[in-house]
Amino acid sequence: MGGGALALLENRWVRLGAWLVAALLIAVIPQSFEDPDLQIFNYALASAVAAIGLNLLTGFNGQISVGHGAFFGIGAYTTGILVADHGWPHLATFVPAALLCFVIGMAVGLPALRIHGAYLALVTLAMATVFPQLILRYESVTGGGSGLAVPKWNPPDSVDLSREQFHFYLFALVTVAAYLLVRNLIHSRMGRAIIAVRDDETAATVLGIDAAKVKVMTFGLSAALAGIGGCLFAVAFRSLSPTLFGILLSIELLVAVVVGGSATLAGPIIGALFLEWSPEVIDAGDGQVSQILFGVLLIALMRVAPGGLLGGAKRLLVRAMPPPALEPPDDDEPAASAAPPPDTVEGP
Amino acid sequence: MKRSTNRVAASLLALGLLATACGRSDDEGGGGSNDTTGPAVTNSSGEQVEAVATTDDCEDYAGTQGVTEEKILLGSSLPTGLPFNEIAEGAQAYFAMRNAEDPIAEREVELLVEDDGYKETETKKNWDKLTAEDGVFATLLVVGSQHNKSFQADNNDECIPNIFAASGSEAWGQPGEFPWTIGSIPAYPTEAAVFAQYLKDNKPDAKVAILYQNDDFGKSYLNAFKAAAEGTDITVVGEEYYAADNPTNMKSQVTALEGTGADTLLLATTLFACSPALNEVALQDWDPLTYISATCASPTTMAPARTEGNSEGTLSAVYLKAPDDPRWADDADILAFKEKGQEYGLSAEQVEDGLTVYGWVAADLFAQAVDAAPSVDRAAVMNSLWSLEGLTSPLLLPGIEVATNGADDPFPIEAMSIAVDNGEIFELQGELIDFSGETGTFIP
Repeated sequence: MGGGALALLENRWVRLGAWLVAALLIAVIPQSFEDPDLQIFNYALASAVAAIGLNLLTGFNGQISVGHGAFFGIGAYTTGILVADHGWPHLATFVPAALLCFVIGMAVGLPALRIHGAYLALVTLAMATVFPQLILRYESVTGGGSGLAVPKWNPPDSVDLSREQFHFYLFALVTVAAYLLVRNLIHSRMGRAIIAVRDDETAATVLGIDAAKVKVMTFGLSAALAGIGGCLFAVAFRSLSPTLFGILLSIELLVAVVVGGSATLAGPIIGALFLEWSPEVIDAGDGQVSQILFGVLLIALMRVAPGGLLGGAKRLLVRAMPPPALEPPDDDEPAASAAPPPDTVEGP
Repeated sequence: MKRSTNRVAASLLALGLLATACGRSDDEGGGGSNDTTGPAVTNSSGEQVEAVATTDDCEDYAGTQGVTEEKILLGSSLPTGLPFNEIAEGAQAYFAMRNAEDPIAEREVELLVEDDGYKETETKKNWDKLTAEDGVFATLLVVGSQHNKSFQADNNDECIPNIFAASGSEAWGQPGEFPWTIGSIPAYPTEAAVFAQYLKDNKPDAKVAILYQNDDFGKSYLNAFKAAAEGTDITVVGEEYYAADNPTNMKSQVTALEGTGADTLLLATTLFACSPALNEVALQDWDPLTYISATCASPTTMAPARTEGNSEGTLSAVYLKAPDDPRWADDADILAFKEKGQEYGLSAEQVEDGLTVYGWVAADLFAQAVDAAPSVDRAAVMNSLWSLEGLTSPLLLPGIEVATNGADDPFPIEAMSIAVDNGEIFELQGELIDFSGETGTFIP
């Protein structure tokens, strides 16, 4: 069903158009928003990169993690410590942060070979709980509860941008890079293996896929992206403390993935923007009422669009553009088989 | 103007009191490049003192942003749900009164309040908005340690005053490094020292067990109490901690502390941990002389212990006249506050709330600091705040003098009285214990 709309989404001109819109937004946003609002976009993009990573694991590979806030925190603290205490340039810290998260992510992925679903969620939950305690424990390195101030990353003198504008362009670049990385990965042989393992691990193994390797690698890669998101956050927020990286953050990242559209490529970016901006937009005048409204909105959204914002939009499009049913159907094949299976890969 | 709001679970947190502390560092020299000693300024008694806040290194210094001939615009960020909203509303009522009756520096003062749901990422966003979009002159009474910390580097770089941070962290007493942030309530170390002094006077050979929150808030009390007890016959016989994010289960800690044979218990607890700690002590039939952090002294926080009848006899410390304490029922200043407060926007319930009084007093001290400053300029007001001498406010406990002197005495209020829980409220008991200028000696 919906072959018309889905075919449209597959159309290269439509995809090109989507890229143009994205490019236009990236160009226009820093000119249209004041610095404080631009900062909110910057926080959203930092979360978006982490959510792209989490989506690779949870959406495409079917492994649930409620602990990605810890990788986000490891990335943030790696940047913070290297810049503040060792004088590294900000950008150079992204590499060790990503590597460190990759290695730790693979280590956490090992138990995931034997446990699934809710049990895996518990293991990752432990990670989210332990991380802030480790920050407190190793106070001499991390600054502990007093926090860690990250020096500013100012734009180079030759560039006539405010700090927030400079960060926005930079963060957008990193987000696009993370998006392309995951997109190309998903369309590759490895990507097909990642999805096959999610859909049916036994069948995938029978087909010759090394499921263990795929799962551990995916966990590592996903953690590395979450870590880079953390680096961006450290650059934008500049004041790190253990309370920032608790369980709530891990859950928020998961919410960003689900709200945007799990196992869609652009979903996590949309989800992260939604999550960061909706509290600014929903304003009931009373903080607690606004939170309740936000909760109701989330529940309603999941009811109306269980596939997330992107999934919902896709469904609307399908409904608005019925499949070309008037064409005489092929003798043997139902029309729908021409469409790619839903819930796998979509364009931006 | 839009209030930014918080999203997930922070509504729970909004029920608590001024909490979780931060640390400090002793580095000096955030001020000038070569010239850290700024020009001399006049203090609140008209004497010449050295300037703490200098503008040499400020990023785009705008000394009079938010100030016009008619108006001073201030901003705050706190959880606007109960009970913290009372702080902001107390201050707003005070400004409304002064605007109508006796304008501060001949200007109208407006305090914008943004909600942060007790989430530091929101506090930072609010600070960005208040300073860059609304263009406030300064922030006042921002609640929470991490929350003030979230923008401390920024307000320092941009030289925007953060006045009377509503948290007892000693981090607000570092004028060398952070001359643009000053605290308000007695610092946690001051409070720990007050309890140590009470023991010296009343129970000089106390064997003390300490239960503390495992972060800078709890460690502030722990370290300061030990420092204050040094050289006395008071001994610390046991210390246990709980995780800040798991404040409800205290069983093993309380069992271990009781096992030490302690006869005195210091609870460096806050928010949700206050009542569970008291309840657990009662559950184990242990009856030590118990002191609980002043951050627990809100009706909301104490309610679960009070309804179980487990709070009576617990000590804490106060520095304000509590409007619900019968001792002040006929006090002229309290009566005037209740009358004026209601005239200028507070409800009959609000004028009975200690947090409202806190906001009112802080606004009064701000007004006095502005009056003492030679001009309504950010550096001038900040330097006035760092050189207060003998200020008083009618709702502070009699005898309390508010004084600062740069790095030598960076904490405005350093005197408290012990109060005892009577099952409903903390009732003032005994004399003022004054550590003016000495708080630094309890910070190891």
